[in-house]
Amino acid sequence: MPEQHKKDVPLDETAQRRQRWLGVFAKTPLAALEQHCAELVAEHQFHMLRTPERGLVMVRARAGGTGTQFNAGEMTVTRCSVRSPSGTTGHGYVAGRNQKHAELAAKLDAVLQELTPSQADALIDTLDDALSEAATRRQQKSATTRVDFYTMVRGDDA
Amino acid sequence: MTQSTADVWLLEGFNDPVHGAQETFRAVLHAMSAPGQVVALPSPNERPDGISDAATAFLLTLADYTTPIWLDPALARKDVQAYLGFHTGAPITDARADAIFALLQGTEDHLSLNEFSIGTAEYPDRAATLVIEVETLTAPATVRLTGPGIETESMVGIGPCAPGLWEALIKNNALFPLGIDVVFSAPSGVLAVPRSTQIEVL
Repeated sequence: MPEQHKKDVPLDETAQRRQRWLGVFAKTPLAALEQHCAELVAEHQFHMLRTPERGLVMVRARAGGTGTQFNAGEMTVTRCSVRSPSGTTGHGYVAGRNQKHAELAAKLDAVLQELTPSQADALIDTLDDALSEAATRRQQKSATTRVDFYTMVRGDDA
Repeated sequence: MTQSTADVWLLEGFNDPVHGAQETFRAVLHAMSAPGQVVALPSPNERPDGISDAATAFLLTLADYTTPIWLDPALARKDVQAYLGFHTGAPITDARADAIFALLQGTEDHLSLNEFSIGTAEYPDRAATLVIEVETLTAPATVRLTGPGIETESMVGIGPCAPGLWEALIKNNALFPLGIDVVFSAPSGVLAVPRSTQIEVL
């Protein structure tokens, strides 16, 4: 299908919340995702609309964030789509080759659309907090070995 | 907002997309090279209401984002469009002239094959392929097919057959090497009448 860029149309609130949780599911390691969410999807019988499949996507970038777009390189992505018993479609896209991760993300996407916003947000906040915590830990760990370089003014040329 | 049911239920395609498509491709190739023969196609797991397994398998296999599909007004429903869009990525077009594939109901009183692309002298492959849904491919024979891919003759009965359909296909044959290709689909499979086939109404 020809690409349609609808950047002028802001996403509605439902779409924004869905966008957020899809990102969180993709970034949360599979083990953590299973630990927190496995029981949410366990009781449902899902139809596999698209069994997990791996492919490549072209990552595009802009130099300095403002330059013209260029192809930065390809990355492996695994995707999956499911239908819940009540007919909701869930999509999962994750970086890498982990098919179980994509499948769980798709199932969770379907389940979360059927929850109330507060229920869904509570779950996502937990996962999101864990993600930021991990990021902070990583930063702190690297901060201890940080080296500040000072440039001395060389006076011997004068 | 608690969502209990979606507006449009997306349905499953082939159980095994790769092998389902490969099997279907091989079967359609056979049907096209032996006009008048009924060839069975694999069935998808689920399909939208009102479309046969064979027509669904055909489109799942051959349609992609480069092949606009024209749908019969009776079939141009949201669920059909969502199904084809999700599984094939093919755009749905309202303009017959833009269509590479078209899905029609053979039972209609006014089945018009006009306006579909017949290709150009430089690119005869840009013609449209029409999938016409019928109830049976093994009705009492009403036409005799001869031509490439048919050793002697092939007697064909399509039921029910819209009035004027065969006359239109005879005119279409006269355009060769241009012209549309037609695939009849029914629960039992598909039967192809490509543009090269000569038709004689009995």
